[in-house]
Amino acid sequence: MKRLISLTRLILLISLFHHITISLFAEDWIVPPDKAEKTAPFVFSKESVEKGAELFVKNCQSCHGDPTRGNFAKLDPTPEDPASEKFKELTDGEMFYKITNGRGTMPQFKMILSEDDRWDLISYIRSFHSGYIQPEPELTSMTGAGERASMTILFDSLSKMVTISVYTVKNDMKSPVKGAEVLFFVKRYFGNLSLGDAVRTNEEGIISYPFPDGIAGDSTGQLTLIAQLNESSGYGNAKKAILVPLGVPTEWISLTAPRAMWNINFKAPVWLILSYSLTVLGVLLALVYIMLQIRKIFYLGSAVDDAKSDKP
Amino acid sequence: MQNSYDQVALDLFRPVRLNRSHLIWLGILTIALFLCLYAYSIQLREGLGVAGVRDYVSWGMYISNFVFFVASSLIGMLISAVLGLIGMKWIRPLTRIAEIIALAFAAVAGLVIISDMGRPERLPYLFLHGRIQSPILWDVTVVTTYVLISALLLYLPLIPDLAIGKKILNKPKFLVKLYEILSVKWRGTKAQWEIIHRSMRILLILIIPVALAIHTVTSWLFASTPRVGWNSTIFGPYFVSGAFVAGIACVIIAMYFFRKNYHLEKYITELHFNNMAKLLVLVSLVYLYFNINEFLVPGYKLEHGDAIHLKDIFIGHNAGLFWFAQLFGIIIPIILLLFRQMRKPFPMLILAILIFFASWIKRYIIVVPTQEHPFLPIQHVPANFLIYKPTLIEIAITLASFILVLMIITVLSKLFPVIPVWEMQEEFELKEKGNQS
Amino acid sequence: MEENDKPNEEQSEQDKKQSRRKFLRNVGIITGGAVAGGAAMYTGIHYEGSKLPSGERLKLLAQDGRLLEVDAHHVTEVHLPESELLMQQGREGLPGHKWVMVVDLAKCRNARKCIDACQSAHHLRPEQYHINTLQMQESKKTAPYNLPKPCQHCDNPPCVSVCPVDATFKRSDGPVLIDNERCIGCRFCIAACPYSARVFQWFEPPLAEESKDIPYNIELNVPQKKGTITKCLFSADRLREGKLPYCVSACPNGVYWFGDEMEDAVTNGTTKETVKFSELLKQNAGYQLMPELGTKPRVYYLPPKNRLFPFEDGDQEEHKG
Repeated sequence: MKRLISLTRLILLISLFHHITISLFAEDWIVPPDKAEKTAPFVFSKESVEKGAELFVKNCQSCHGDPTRGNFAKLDPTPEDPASEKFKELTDGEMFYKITNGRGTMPQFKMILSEDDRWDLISYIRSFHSGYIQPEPELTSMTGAGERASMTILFDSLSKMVTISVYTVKNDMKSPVKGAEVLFFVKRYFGNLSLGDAVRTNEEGIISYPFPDGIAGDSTGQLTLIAQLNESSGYGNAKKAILVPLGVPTEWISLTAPRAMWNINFKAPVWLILSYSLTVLGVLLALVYIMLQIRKIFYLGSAVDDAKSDKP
Repeated sequence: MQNSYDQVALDLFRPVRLNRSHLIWLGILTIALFLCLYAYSIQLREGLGVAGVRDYVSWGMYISNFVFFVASSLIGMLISAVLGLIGMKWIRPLTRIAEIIALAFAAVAGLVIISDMGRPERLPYLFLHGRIQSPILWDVTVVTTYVLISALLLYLPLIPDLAIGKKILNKPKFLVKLYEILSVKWRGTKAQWEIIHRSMRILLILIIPVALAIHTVTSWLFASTPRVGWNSTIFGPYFVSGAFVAGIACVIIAMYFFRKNYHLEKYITELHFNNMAKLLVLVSLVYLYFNINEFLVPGYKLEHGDAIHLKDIFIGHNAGLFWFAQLFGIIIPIILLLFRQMRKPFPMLILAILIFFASWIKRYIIVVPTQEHPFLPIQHVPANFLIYKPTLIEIAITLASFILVLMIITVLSKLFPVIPVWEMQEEFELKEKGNQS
Repeated sequence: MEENDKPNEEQSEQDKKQSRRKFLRNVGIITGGAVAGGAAMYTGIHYEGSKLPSGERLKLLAQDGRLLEVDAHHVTEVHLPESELLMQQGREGLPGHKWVMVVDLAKCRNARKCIDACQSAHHLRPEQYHINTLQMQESKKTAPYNLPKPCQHCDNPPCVSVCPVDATFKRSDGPVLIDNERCIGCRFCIAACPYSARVFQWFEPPLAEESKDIPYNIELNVPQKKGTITKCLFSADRLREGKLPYCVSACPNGVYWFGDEMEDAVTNGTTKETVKFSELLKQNAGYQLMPELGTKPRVYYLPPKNRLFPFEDGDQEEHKG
């Protein structure tokens, strides 16, 4: 019976969405079922609500407005008030998924907010939903019996092959980790460039990763490669960075190197310097010549005067 | 015969004295100048914002005025150099008037540009950190040179006159002393005459490219930018031909007043007015030709930006000023001056004053409307950013520049004869000789 | 993942030092106060001259371009007062980089957060824009869109060409900056800029009184100075710290990508996601504003396809040109 009600609610909700969304978003925002079931790793508290409130102002308010006031931005699709029924209907996992990945006008916060931050946010939003009861928090699921794995990276500059081995250490014994997910990044000035989907280790706990072509390195092709364990695969989030000469060498030529009209005085086009200087010099010489001629008039006049005064 | 020869000198030196009416006139100009300088002091204190210019139309009256001044100063080159060098004898009594006007406008143009600077105290940076690639640097170079050459062109033919004046004048004392110094021991020897003639010829040839350069470079202040309405390849000749029209109008106004006030009817005759009228028609036709090029070609294609620009000045809110400038600055004078009766002094004075105003407005039309419609829309700014309206302070500061020009012309025309004395004497001699033979 | 949030400051600091040192060696700029005088002092700081045995000859490139040779013994470290240091490093730029910006027009909903952040960082009045968002519609039937418009930091900048005193200048790493202590206020650059990117301090700037004791920072244009030009600086001061520009980090809608052309990477200011610059342009048909003018902008736009926001006309006074 209960299921039926919630189903009708869902249908109602979907039809409502259909009215609101424009053709662009003909499809509804469906969260994969396994993600929707996800629950927070901690019990929501006064502290988490407060922290969430702070994060909300910084990251969400500009579109979603102040909860309960309905002063969200007029966008298409509408961001809606987080205190609204529509939000209440979502499971914690759905909310977490939407915040994490974003869609369309809703930015993804994967890179901006930590998982805990996102859960704090949800705890804040839930504080507006009367009658909400938090599902049992799932304590951090460490499938590898709580063991955190380590990593080593090797590379071969000729074959451009990067070899990662993932292992755990117990009583000074290394044992390879099978099926651990590793993400690859290249360090860039403002953030890390993802090289694609996570790669799984084989039976020996090893990944042979062909480094992709066409990634810019420095003048000698050096770049910083980062390998990181995907936390959700359950072996922690160990991270290794290594300088590898696998990038495309790029030569930096100063933008101000060429002579140009827009460059500094010293870097003016040669023809301009020459023609300007020669013209100015020519005119100046002519003017100096005229001045000297005026002086000559004076001397000639003096000579006449002298001749006159000599005569008598 | 000897009598009339001396009479020329007496006639021409008669206005060279300080009488009361001229002192009063100078007094009025000085007071007006100080009132206008007060306006400038406000601008210095508060910032350029007291003028109507804003971020989009950032060049307003001052720059229009600067262009006008440079234009007017070009006339010295046309009258003395071009006409003089091709042997037009009738032009001789007008050369000094033209040179005085050229010198006054060119010298004050430099000050006008300073009034447009946000940081006038940083003027020396132009010499300390000057960038050779900037048309402003070229403009500064070439305007300074032009002022120098114009001053020399005024001074050199004045030397023999100063020697004559030294004998005729007996007061005021300081003037006689000034004449003594400036005449650099002119004794009229053959060698001295040779120097004068040779130097004059050099200067007259030199001033032609320099004068063309000052106005061409001024046009490049606009044409070197990618802006609609300025981005034109004919801006140089367009400006130069327009400058001749404005300059001739200035000379005609000055001719009329000097002739009347200094009683020079014998030297500046109706023939001179008639000839100037024909010259004016000639340069106006050339200017008309460039106008047709400047507007017809983009008007034919109506590219996006050009279409907006032309619509604005043809029928938009700048249309009144544009058509005033075109009609009274070019078309009506050309038509009217075809009639002999209009080539008399008084009708020409009226026409010249109209052309003078129209020429000023034309500079405004060249400078301002282009900035009112940039490539990207003007949005999210106060209303006074959209359309330029000059403020009272701006107008006062602009007036100051005109007052300064008038003062310079007044003082120079009072200190020295406005018509070259020895050249007139030479003409008289030639005429006498002709009568005798 | 979390470590991606904040650029690793220590590392980037080291990178900078490293690349600087490399740069210095590459071009042979090693110079000392004793020889080249004050103008060349800044680069001298970075040369570890003291480690060299005396008698060794060094080739130095002075700021004015002359190649000099001096005994290493004579090379001394020179410490400049902060104001001069800011001026020197501001004119020199960050070697090894070429900054680029990508603006995704499909995402802009005219929230104007970029403008607020920019105006407060640069001490501007509400009507003074280093970056402005314009409501565009090319012709009657085409769809309207919002156009965030910073300075385009052209590689062939018409504004710099016309500057008579080298007050505005192109930097080796891309940005076009302004030296407010040099600017004479002729406004030729305003006339020359086809993007209307420049603003003038017509009156005493706001916060003039409060900021008068701050040493002038050429990369921030603060304190602002009356009677001079100011404009978008690509937040050159933030780039030096390894941070994204003010407007880029303030955007709530993921409109801005900013990065280094040399690394072929741009980072989104909202999501902090880093992608390949060339791929981003390729996949979204990136373009430049008015490329026909030959200004070669360093700001790229992604077309306003699939606009996610309704266009609000508002009561904006509009003067389209």
